[in-house]
Amino acid sequence: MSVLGKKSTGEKIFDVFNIVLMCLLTMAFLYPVLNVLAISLSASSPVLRGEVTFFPRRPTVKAYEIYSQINIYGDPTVILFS
Amino acid sequence: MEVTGVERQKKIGKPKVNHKKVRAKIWADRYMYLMILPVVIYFVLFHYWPMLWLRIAFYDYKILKGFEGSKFVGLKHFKSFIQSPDFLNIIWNTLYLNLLSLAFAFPAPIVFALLLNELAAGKFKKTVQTISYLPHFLSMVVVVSMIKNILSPSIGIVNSIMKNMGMEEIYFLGEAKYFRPIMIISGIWQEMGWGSIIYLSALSGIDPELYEAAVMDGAGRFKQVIYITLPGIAQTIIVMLILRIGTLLSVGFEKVYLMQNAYNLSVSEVISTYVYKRGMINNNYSLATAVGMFNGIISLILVSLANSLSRKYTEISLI
Repeated sequence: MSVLGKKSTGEKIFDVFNIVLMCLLTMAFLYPVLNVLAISLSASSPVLRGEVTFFPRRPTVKAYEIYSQINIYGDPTVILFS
Repeated sequence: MEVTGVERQKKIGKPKVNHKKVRAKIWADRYMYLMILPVVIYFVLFHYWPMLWLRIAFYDYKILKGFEGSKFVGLKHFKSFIQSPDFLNIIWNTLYLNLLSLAFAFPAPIVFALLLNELAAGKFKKTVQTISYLPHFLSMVVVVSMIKNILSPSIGIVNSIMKNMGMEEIYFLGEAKYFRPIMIISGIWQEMGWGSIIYLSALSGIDPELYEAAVMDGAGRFKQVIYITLPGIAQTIIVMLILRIGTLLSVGFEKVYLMQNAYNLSVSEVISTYVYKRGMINNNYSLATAVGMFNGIISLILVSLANSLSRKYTEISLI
């Protein structure tokens, strides 16, 4: 909302603070989601050691293979869309 | 949801009804009515029609015998709920959780919208906004399992940070005192971005000339927020507040139930989980219905109270 005129020092500090805060918030919104995604794509031992954060360790799609074989409701897509 | 000032309502008064004109008008807007029809059907079918079965609360209801075979017992179930040892604890848990959420989770989207509004319009703002909506779209089961992951003493990031700082690791979900903070903080995380949409749209409705005039008068950005932005969205805030107060006695069932465990049961047993356990698990339909009805009546009283207070002091009200 910069309307006319120059920004004072206080306003500049606020702008920087605001941008930093927004970056942190974005991280906070994204981290849990990316974390779950990374865990789902990792082998189980790095997960159990707590090493997985943003990126998968020892990437594998084994979890998804097992998941696709689950047959509780006849079709795994049922779980996906319920 | 229409916001009407009391003054305007008085001015309009009662219009004379001309049936022919009304019918012609309805016919002219027939596609509008067609569009709202599914919503009306939904509400009648799933909200008004089931209300007929609130009678269950006044019977010793046996599901196989129906109303004819069940005994009418009047207010017995209401009495037994109010006199039960759980009563105060459950009401308090529900109310306390909601008051905390009113104090912290309600202002969060407003603050977030104001801060977003202060960002220069552009890609950065849009990206932050879009990402902030993300948690809203995750299903509750997924969110709770994420919470369990992140707070886990063995693989969670919170505990690994605490370990690196030389603190003891904590099993957050295993201690009752952490239940409420976890609920509130994760609630803010889930709904902050989504909740800010309505405030952002209210913000975009503020006349930019007001800001220009304020700058001419030498108002800094902080003063602009106080004297222009906040009054500009005050109506929206009050309407949201009234609606929020109507739900002071109800907590979303799913999340509490998923987070509940033997350790935190003393603080996590709320009305909705109690109703579920009594009604669905113990098959005590009458008591569960009575509790639900009690909850509904109190909520109705609360929301009308908030509404009339708001009408009296700010001339903003729902109806």
